[in-house]
Amino acid sequence: MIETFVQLGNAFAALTTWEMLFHAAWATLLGIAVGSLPGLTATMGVALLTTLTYSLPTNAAILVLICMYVGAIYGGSRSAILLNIPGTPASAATTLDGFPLAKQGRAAYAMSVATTGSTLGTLVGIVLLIALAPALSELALRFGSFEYFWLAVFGVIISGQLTGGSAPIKGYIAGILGLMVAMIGSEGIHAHVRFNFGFSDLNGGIGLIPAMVGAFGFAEVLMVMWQPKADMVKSTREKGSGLPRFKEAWKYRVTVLRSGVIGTFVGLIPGVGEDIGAWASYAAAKRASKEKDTYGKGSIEGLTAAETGNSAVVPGALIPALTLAVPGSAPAAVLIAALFIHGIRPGPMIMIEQPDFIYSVAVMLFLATVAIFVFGISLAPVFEVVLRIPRERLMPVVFALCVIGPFALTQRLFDVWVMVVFGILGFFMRRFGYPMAPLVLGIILGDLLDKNLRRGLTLSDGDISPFFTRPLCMIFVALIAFTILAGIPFVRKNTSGIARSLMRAGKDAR
Amino acid sequence: MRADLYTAPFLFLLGAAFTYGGWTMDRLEIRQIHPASIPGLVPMLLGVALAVAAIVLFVQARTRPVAETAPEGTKDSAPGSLRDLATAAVLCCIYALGLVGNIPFGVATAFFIACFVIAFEADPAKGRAHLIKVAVIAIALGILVATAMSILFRYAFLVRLP
Amino acid sequence: MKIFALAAALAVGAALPAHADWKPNKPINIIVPWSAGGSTDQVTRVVAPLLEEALGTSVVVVNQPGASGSIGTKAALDAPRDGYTWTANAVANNATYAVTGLIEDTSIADYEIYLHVANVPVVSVNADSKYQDFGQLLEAMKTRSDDVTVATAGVNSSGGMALAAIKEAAGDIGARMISYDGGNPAAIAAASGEAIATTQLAVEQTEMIKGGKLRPLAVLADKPLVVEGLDPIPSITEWLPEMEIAADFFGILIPVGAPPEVYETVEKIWNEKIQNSKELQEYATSRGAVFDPASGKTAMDKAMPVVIAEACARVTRGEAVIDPSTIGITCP
Repeated sequence: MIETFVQLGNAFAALTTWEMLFHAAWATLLGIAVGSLPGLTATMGVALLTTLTYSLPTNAAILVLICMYVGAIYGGSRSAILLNIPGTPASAATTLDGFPLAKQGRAAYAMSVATTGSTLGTLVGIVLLIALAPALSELALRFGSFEYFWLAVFGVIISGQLTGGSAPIKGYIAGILGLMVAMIGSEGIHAHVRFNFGFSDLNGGIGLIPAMVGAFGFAEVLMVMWQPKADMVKSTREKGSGLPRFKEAWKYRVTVLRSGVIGTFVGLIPGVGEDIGAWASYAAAKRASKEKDTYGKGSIEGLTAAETGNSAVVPGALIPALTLAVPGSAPAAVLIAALFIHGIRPGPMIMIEQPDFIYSVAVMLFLATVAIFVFGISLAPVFEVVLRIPRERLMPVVFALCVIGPFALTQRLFDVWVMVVFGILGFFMRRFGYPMAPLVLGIILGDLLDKNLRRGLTLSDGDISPFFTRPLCMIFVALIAFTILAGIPFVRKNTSGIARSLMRAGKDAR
Repeated sequence: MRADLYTAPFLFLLGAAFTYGGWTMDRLEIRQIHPASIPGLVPMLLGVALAVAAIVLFVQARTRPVAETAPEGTKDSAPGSLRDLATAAVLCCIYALGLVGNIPFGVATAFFIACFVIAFEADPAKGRAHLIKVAVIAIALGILVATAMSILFRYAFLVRLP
Repeated sequence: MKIFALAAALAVGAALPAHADWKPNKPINIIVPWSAGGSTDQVTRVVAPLLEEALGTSVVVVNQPGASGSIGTKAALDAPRDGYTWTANAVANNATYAVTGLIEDTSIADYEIYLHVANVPVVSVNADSKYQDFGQLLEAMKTRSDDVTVATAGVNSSGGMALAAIKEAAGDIGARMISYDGGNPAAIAAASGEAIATTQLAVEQTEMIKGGKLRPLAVLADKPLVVEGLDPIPSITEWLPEMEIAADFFGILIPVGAPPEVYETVEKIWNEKIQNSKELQEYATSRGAVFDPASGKTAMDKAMPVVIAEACARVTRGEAVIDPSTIGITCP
């Protein structure tokens, strides 16, 4: 234990030179910019900086990449709150409560809640990283094809349930449509091309980012232009509204802690990233909340849960990346490659060969956290200016960003067309009361669901029983069944009373 | 929502079509793949799921009162000016589908932003001075934003702009 | 730093006979059609900085995984042939995408190839499994006493081809291939026990082997594989003596059709820089790869045996959708 602190102290001393702090500052700022621009993702930011930091010394290069990662995941919340457009898929859950707050004229307040939530989420993740890295890495290996399948189903179900409001069926339909979109193009097991309708551009499938930017971004532009001018978001200057929200954080300390732990654990699971982390902790927070009714209408607790959850994924995703060389998320995968370039070999041997490196990473994450906190609080007024731009001038700029963002990732004009099609589709779906978030999550998870179902069936030689008998699978099946049943009003009416009395009994027992 | 009564049958048909597409999809027997891993498996399941969901939606739309089926956050989408909507949609589509890719990105963006601002802010009833002011603001904004974006993406993000 | 590298590269360029030198004026993209962290990705990210230094422009590695590497490869082939979009892969893959039907109308003639390392597949099993040597595993597969699942990165990946080669050499054996998204996920599946064995490349398994999560049984090469810090891994020919093994070459591939100075410049860099690169040599010895750079005609000669072997194996198994001879591959 003491040894841990000594090593942490050494790493801290080595990393807090002016040069390192300078690197942390610019990389985090760039990360926030990348994250808040719709279409540019954390993965792209980290990959980009990997090539630009070849020539830096190892520690500085890794610090820059980690700051970019943390900054980009955090930065997505800015556009989610201000424009109702998640900057990265990680912030889709943030729009649910962040944007309503901004509409109530409390954008600065919402941003500082998000900043505090992100900061605390990363901190919870860092603590778990230091304390439990080797032990937790084993857990990542427990996730096999069967579990991934259920995880994908679970993700679509909770997102559909949470965003569908009183009609979860519309959330589920949006989720299924998203899964269907993911079926288009070359599938991942036999490379057979499905549903390309004769267009070779569709062979590679529908890109997630253009679809997301269209469904959220372009659709939002159309929605805004449609509304009468008077409905514009107003920004009232509450006194001190941009200050850190420690009081709120303390009030929702259980939510913060729970979301942090959930986020870190989701991060551990290979290939599952910040988006699921945010949704899972948002769902858990809503379930346990005393003020369920405010969710979706500007709940501070919901916003805190979403932001804490997605930020905690970052340290979580780094745990298997460092100790198994198994990326816990897409940006972590790029980070692994960067580590190899700089002569650090992540994997089971890292605790033996370079034990101090884990502590260095923890300190780097900490510096990134400090940086997002400082920038988040100090830049809130700058971001808030966005709200004071008249919609006629802001929306064309937003749309131009929606065009160039997806293009920047793959440099294909086809993706711009996808963005436009999904924007129009998204506009009509919203008109008919279908939420966008499950659609996007469905596109993310469709590939995971498809491959792991068929891979699992191949592993078991066509037998479906492992999907129901493996221990983690049973937990998922129970959770999914519970979620669906809870969405049916009849069941909800009869069980909530029982649940409440059980909770009360539990509290009394403590 | 009344519209659900019409969208539900459409969704049901989409589900059925997807199932049919999955069923008739190549089973890849020639490659000797495991029969449980045929590419059409998941599309078939999803098609069935969507069809079932569509039936539930239809039943709910018939039995439940109107207000209850509208999810939160969508009620505020009260119709505004249809002309504004159409103008915005057409301008965006011309820019994204027509201009980008055919003329340099910076020029297209500046042009689009200027047109957008003029289309929504200019009010001929307010006289010439007003029109000139709007035009100047629009063109300045277009050039400024287009330049900034081109530089940012070209040099900071190493993107080859169209 | 960047400017310095650029200046240095220009200075070097000026010192040499530079009449046909290509000076890229924008970043070069190398499309890796596999996920980040896999064998192709790792070695490409070692090579990219060397090229970046030599060319004086950014060399950006872009991962476009999916469908046994065919999606990214197709993207590279479809990109403008201006010399700014390259791809990186096991050369045998690019040469046989048409044979497996993953990409229509393509052959090795679509690229100029620049090889850097040869990789060898290793048969490994989960560390807790009962198989102590390859003979026991082979016996179980032959008698079908156990349901042997083998994790690979898909039918067209190095691991998939290795399994096919074993099946061909050993005759009728029961081994069910499970496809994953890349070599790394496949190795993890074997390490976690989801699949019993894996036939992916040594470089994708070394950390798992060193960490005691995988047990290496045999290497698909004619001599044992020596990796820093490990006992030598025996050759598969100890159990399957008649097995023919062609080295699996990896490299950078530039689609043809760009100005000729592009290829001349890269070839020069290959001969002067890559041939003597310490970084690549170090990578090879520590990870279990064979350092063997080549370009131009030499590269083609080195790569052809494995290309022929892979293409013709598909014909034998009835998986080929076209006759390899139509794209210039003659089966013995």
